[in-house]
Amino acid sequence: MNQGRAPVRFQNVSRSFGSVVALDDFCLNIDAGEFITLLGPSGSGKTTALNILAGFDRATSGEVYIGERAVGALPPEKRNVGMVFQSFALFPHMSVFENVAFPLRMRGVAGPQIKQRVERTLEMVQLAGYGTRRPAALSGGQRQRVALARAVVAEPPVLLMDESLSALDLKLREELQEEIRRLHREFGTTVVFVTHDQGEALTLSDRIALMDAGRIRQLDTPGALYDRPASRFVADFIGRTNIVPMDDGSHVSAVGLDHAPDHAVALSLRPEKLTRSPDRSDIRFEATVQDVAFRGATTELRLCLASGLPLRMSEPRSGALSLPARGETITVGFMRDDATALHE
Amino acid sequence: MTGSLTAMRFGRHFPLIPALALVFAMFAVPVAFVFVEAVFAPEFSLAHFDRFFTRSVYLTVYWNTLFVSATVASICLLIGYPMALFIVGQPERRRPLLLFLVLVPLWMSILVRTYAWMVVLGREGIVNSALLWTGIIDQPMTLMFTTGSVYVAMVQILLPIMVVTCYSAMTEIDPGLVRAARVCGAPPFAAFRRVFLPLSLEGALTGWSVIFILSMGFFIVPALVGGRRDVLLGNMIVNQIAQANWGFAAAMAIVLLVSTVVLLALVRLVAARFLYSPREV
Repeated sequence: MNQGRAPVRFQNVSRSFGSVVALDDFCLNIDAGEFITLLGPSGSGKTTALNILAGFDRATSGEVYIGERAVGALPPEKRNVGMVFQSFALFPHMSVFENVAFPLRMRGVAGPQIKQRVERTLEMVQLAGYGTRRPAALSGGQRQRVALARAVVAEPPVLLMDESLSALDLKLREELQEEIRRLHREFGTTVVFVTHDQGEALTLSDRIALMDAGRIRQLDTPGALYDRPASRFVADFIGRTNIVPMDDGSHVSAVGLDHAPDHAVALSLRPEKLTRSPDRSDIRFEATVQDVAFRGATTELRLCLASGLPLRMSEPRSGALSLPARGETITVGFMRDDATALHE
Repeated sequence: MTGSLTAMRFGRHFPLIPALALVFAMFAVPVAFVFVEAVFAPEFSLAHFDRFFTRSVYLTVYWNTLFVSATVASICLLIGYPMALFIVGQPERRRPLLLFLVLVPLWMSILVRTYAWMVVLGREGIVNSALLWTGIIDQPMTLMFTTGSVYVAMVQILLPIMVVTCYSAMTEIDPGLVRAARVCGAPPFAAFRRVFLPLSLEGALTGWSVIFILSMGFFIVPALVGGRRDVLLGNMIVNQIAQANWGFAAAMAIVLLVSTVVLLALVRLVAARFLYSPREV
């Protein structure tokens, strides 16, 4: 099935709109068959990068390669990529079957083969038997599946997904995330996924390129990005965290350290790494409880350090320790290895 | 319970009442009068209709009216659709100016615009003077008072309506659809033909219908710039009224109204069969 999968390479790609620089000397090597996510806030350049890869936009300078082929000057129809749009972009005047058949027709595939391949693809996205319906007669999740089927039916070596799930509600989104992972395993296609949702990026990706202001701030596996953020921006964007500034000595001692780590401007302390249990911490400090909130699987504590810095703490509801009262001063700790020194 | 429901229904439809009253007083009642005038002259008789459909003079004008209206609407479509397409393709900030330029002629009276064509097409008009001056011709051509001048003037007068109707239909189309077609492997023209065109045809057909309706009622333009044979049903009605033949004029008005309605119903029927409409599910 996965006859075609291609590496993708952005080589020093810049794109500016007037004086606004959307992509700034952007370099990225994507392996064949890899699921990579361009993650970032709006305006970070992730959509610009995708548009340049799809052929909707041209780089001001630099080149894009799909496989060994430089595609920067090619129109979208010559790039042989599949794409799932945020708005689905299903053709409203065509049936589900015709929507999915469209890429095959454009590639000149013969009629009987079209029927067979469309039906097989619709089956893969669990929409067998929906061929005669119009997109307007489908639910949001079904439309998304049709869009997915249309993007993969011609088995393009690269699949692009632009905020493809953000139009759906949470439950459906999680369901489709599963499905996209399964399709990726089955097809083995290279996937470039664009999202601003860090949770989605962590769930789906082999690697994440976290972008800001037209550049990659950090390129890593989801685990590494979460556990070893390189900067305040990354630590703050991926998951929730406490940033403890290290340039102020009072905060350093308030979290129980005798000196700041070398060259660190701040320390990232994940809320779930803070604990009240003394045997799971080697660094301990005192904090005042300001609020206790029940969150189902966890209890969220809002703490305040002696230096005045607020901290969040997330505690699994094991029930081993009784919940502190508001205003109470408690001893909190963490493992030295779990705190990440941030250098910018 | 029933009372309050009725009250609710009344409340919901209340805003329609002024409009309905206006249509009733200004349209339904006069049309009824015209109808009565056509069939009672002075007692019930279909003599006027009989006269209309049996004399070749009237039938010729009748078919000519249908033909001219359909042709004008089609020429407007052929010119107006590409114009609208061009405007939609422009950057968003430039579109209002272009639309404004299209609409400017609509704010001028039809009479003024028709007289303007006399200045342009007359024996000593701009076109003839220019051609004589450049030496392409040595005798002024007859451009005025021809069938051609009627078409030119009618198309010029009605074209903005087509452009605006097509334009608004085109702006409803998600530009992402054309992108999607391109990424699916469709070259620009295929993306247009398979996706954009089918989605905009409904709007184009609406424009065609509006222009057809308006053309069917034209009489100033053929009277001022047309030749003797360029007579439309509207002109005949005016003539009959001038001669105080109210009954026959009314009968022709009814024929005109019914023909327009029937033809548009047919067009809609065909469209519903073959065209995509955004309203259908």
